[in-house]
Amino acid sequence: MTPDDSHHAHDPVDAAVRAHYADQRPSPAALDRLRGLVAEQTAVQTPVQMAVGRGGWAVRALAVAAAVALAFLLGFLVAPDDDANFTASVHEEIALNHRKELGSEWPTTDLADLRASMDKLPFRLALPDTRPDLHLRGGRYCSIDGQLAAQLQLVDDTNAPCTLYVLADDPALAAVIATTGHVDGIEVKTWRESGLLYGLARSATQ
Amino acid sequence: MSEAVDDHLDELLQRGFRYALSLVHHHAAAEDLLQEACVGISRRGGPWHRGYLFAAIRNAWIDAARRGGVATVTLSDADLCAEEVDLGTLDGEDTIEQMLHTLAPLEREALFLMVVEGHTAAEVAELVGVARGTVLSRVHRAKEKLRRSFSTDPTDPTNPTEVTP
Repeated sequence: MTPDDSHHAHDPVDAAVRAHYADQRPSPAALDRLRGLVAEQTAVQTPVQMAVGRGGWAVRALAVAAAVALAFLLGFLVAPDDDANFTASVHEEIALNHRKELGSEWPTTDLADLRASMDKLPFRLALPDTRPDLHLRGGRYCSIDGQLAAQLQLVDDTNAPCTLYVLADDPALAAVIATTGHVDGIEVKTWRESGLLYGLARSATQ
Repeated sequence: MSEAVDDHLDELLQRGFRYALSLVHHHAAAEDLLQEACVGISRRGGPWHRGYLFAAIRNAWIDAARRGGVATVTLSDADLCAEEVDLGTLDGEDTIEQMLHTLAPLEREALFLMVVEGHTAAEVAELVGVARGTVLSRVHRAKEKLRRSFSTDPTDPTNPTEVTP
């Protein structure tokens, strides 16, 4: 036993900490949501591929060989749509951020003021010309797929709240397609305009 | 999905939740952090195993800290320290949860990874990208704070100190 392991034995602090965390678990609703997320992504995977992270190289090699064989056999019948999958996952991340309902770091209705405040953005912040019905109320930083983005709080002409995500149209996001999706009651629309990628989230009941 | 995979997945998600909780010490925030990590893994097509999930949770936590205005690229203990709680205000009735709240996030993380997940200091150092000595310091500070918080009454049933006959 190495010196730094020895303090684990018979330490009442350790026992109390272990007992505390052993009692902690996500809520049933959160667990269901997460199971659903994994199930969607593993829908085309076999259970062997699902558990491959716990196996050795032999298991991984077998899993890869099985996946390749399966893909070859099904290749003419099922064409995986990588762009649609990637877009769906970006929509989920946008919906997740929208649900958090984080307040604006810079509450303002003036885009020029907000642009000056958010000086770390690698692009010139702009509202989409195609959506004159959106009115600024504030903004904060966020990230989408690891890319620094602006998260803007807006209202539309009916004063209904919505959240607009603005990113540089980076090659890393080239697979995001212009489309509208729905994630847990939130409508998410992605599109490109004037060199920027936009994602608009609002309640689907609006 | 088979029942065996379901059980594996549930265990994995619960372990991920506990790790997230060690970082943020708030139930709802830990759920959000876990979900954000799972979205990222889902986008990359997996794999769904503990090491990858823990790394994704940690990265999501760091991203959130940066979005919260922590400008430094390399987050230091000072950047991620929880507000210090006056240990003198805790009494013998306080729960381990309240005592854990007195720890800095990086202290709680190191304590969790060593005590709950069973890693050595060297393994934790590799996981979180710091020196082994830094990990040992964090764990030492964490345990000292927790020990000071415990009641000195040996008959107190909530007191985790051993009762000597």
